Amino acid sequence: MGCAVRSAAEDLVSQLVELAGPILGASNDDLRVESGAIVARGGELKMSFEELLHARFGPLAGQLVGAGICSPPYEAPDGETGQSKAITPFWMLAGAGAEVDVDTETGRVRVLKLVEIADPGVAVNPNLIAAQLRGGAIQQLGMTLSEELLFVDGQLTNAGLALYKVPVAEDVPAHVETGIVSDSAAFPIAKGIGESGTLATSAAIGNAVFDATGARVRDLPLTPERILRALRVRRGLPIEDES
Amino acid sequence: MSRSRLDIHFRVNGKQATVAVDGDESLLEAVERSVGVHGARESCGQGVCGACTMLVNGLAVSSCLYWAVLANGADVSTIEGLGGSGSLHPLQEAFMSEGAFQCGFCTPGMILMAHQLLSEEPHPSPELVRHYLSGSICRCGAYSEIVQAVLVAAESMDGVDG
Repeated sequence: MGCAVRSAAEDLVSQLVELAGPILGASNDDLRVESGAIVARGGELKMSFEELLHARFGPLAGQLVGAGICSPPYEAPDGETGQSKAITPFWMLAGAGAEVDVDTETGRVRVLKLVEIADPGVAVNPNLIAAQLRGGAIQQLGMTLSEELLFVDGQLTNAGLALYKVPVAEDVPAHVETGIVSDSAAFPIAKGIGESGTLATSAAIGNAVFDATGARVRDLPLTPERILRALRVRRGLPIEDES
Repeated sequence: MSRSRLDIHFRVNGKQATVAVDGDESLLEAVERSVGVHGARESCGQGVCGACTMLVNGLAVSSCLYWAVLANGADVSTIEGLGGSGSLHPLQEAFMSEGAFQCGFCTPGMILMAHQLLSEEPHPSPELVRHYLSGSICRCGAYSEIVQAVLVAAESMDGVDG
């Protein structure tokens, strides 16, 4: 989407330049856009966008519409390897790291630290990207540790925030570090970052639990019950019947 | 069967109001109906999410569970009552400067809970902020920024009564 927006904006600029040339009495080569205005002769001549629109459409104003199309290079994935040198650039790429503390008596997992890395393409607003990554990571932390819809005979049994546990401030690491890696030089686009923080978080936490305890748990969420069960299986200890 | 209603008199954000309420009506409903402010939102209806937080005589309550009749004669504040006319409370300023929200649904509750915290402890530790705010859910996961905003507000208020 980013490159289509850019192409549409460039179309709009050329329309503004076409409009401004005759009015300012300058050649198109001499015209450029500078903070909300078209300027010529190194800033000697100047018309704001507003003045240009008034000159074109009269006092009631109208609007100019730019259009743009983006056709990124694409190469279908190899049938054998699944690899491509030019896969759709809008796919989200992310990685995560987690440090956890596992209580081996109760099975409770606490996430002490999370690191989230993602590819936003061109980082339009780096602060917002960091906030989105942190938010995504914390949402996924909930999905990883506590959030689970429980059904019995097709009926949802925990439809309510008292029984469906969403993490609060005390449940999450004090800081989630974030970073950006981008291959934007290859094909300059800005792309969605919203869910990138969720992509690798569960895997990172699951791997950290494995690293800490040797217990490999593949079902989410990693509730104390599931962790404790896996720890007891590893130690060859009996598990109470589920009923 | 007809239900009998009771008139209650309270102050909401400094303005006197009177409203007829059912005995089982919540403060949230009474405030919305009488004063028409909507900053407090009912979300869980169980007192666990914090989105409906209001201050009753300066103390944070879950207004979805708080009987309206108990607020008779009380001083009630919602997010709309914070700050002066045309100016924002330091907590509101700090939430903006620190980007302490994404969708903003939990923000009124977070700010009112933080308001109570700062009135009790003007210089809280990050841990204490987390503890006080743990009755409020932020689905967007903006906790880092929210805690930071409360700390920034505490510093900017620096003991000045907000």
